Amino acid sequence: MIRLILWLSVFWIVPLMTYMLINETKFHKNIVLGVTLPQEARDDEEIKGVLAKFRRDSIIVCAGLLVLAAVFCFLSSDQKPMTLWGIWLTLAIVVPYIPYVITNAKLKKVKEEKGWKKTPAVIMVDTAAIPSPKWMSPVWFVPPFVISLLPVLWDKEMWFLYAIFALMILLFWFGYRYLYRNKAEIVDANTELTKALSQVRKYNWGSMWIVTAYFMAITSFFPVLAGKNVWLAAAVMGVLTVGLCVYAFHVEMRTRRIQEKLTKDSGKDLYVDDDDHWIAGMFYYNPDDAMTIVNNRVGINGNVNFARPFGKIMAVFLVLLIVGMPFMGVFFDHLGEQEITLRTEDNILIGEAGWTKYEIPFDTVTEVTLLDKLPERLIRKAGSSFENLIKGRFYSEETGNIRVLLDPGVPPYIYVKTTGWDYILNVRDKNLTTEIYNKLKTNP
Amino acid sequence: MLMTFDFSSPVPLYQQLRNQVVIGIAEGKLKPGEKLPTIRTLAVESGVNMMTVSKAYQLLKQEGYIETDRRSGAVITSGKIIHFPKEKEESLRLVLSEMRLAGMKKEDVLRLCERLYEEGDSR
Repeated sequence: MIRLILWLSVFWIVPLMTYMLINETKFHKNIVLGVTLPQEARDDEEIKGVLAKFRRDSIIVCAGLLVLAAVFCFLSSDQKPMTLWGIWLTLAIVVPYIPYVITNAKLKKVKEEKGWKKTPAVIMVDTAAIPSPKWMSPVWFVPPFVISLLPVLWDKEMWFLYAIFALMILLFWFGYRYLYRNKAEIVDANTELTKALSQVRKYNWGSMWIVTAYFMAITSFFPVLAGKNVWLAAAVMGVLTVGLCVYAFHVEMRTRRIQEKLTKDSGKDLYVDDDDHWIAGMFYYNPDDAMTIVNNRVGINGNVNFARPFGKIMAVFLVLLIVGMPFMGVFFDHLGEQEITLRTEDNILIGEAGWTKYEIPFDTVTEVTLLDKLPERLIRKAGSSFENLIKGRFYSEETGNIRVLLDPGVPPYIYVKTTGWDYILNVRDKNLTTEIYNKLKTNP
Repeated sequence: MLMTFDFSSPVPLYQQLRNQVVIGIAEGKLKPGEKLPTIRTLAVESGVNMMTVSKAYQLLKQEGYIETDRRSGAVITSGKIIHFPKEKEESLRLVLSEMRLAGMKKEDVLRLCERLYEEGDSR
């Protein structure tokens, strides 16, 4: 079940990426698949052919990755599910860009052959179209900040969790304010067009961050709601998450549509072309640009100038993240397969798995029960939850807050009530679990 | 006004900026009293270092093309610009010599000068 959820949570990335990449075959701001082309290129048969081939290739890659996901999910053995997941995720992030990079290079070649490449490339600034330095007031982020802290009234014990939610909202304000380069969206000498494009981007950028902040504020109620009714909480979370993803997608596509529509007549005489600064049309590398944060040329997202010191650090981090994903899968698989031990030493029951260690002195034990099945709706508050290992702090209606260290697939489980925390424990050897239970039970 | 910055040009960036402002004023694209972008804004727009923009603005101020104050930032000088340094005459002499050597006749040179001068007037 966990494995299925794991795959369902990521498989949609590929069709979505494919859709977004195919959308780049439309001319937004004179740019198609990361290459700036003049107006006449839109009717050029060779260009049309290259773009059609890219669309076909992308769909083939998408289908291939989905089939691979199905194979990995259903046909692979139960062993190493996270490793396979990590490998697939790396492929899903990298492979769809292979046709993109190839097509980008082809388009650049055609551009050069047809004499469309501008030499030298210059930076254009329209002093009459510089965007307003005004930003949305931080006051807009105050209500979600306050809302995210409200659950503390019902759940004081987990105050740090709600503090993290509130901190996230502060980070969203920071992201809105500082991860955006307030630069004119200049495409040609048309000042009004530049102003309109700049406003469209800035408005959508702001709306995205503020909506996300409110989403995070509502999400902070999840732990409280989960304590009351886990299914309702899960349903609310599901709807909210899907809603936010749909909204983010809608904002990006709306911005792209407007960019496409507004610039449909551009690219005739004088137009901006800074392709030389975009490696493969994706990575901004411009040592002459003093700015680190830059805007993507299409849509609302931001990018980093990889020629700046911070950009170089980011590049290393990104490579490590992508290459390291399968290794992270291996690591998580290892965590899930950790040995669970239960032993008694000097009238103390010691449960261990990895770096988790619980010590329960016998004299603190008030009640011991052997359970055939786990409490329903066991909700994780802090800890790990794998198919073969659950450990950490959990909550259920039947038990309240509880510490757990067990393999859910190997009943029975020992339910230990103490003067402090309560525990549910077992080991993968049923006989040993029963033996430990008997030892606890018979101990005065 | 549309400004362009050529990072591969041998002309320094601050000089490129300064020249474009001067031409903009002469051609009427920048009116007296008109605000120029702040140093920071122009740096964000162009990617040029703030120090470079600042250097160009200082030069323009020294030459009397712009005035700066804390409230308005940099604005185009409202009064008449009387500054015309002697070394510019030498530059003009050099350009005229190049034109002569290129075979241009006096009438052609004057016609060209007249056209360029009137382009500024007509805006």
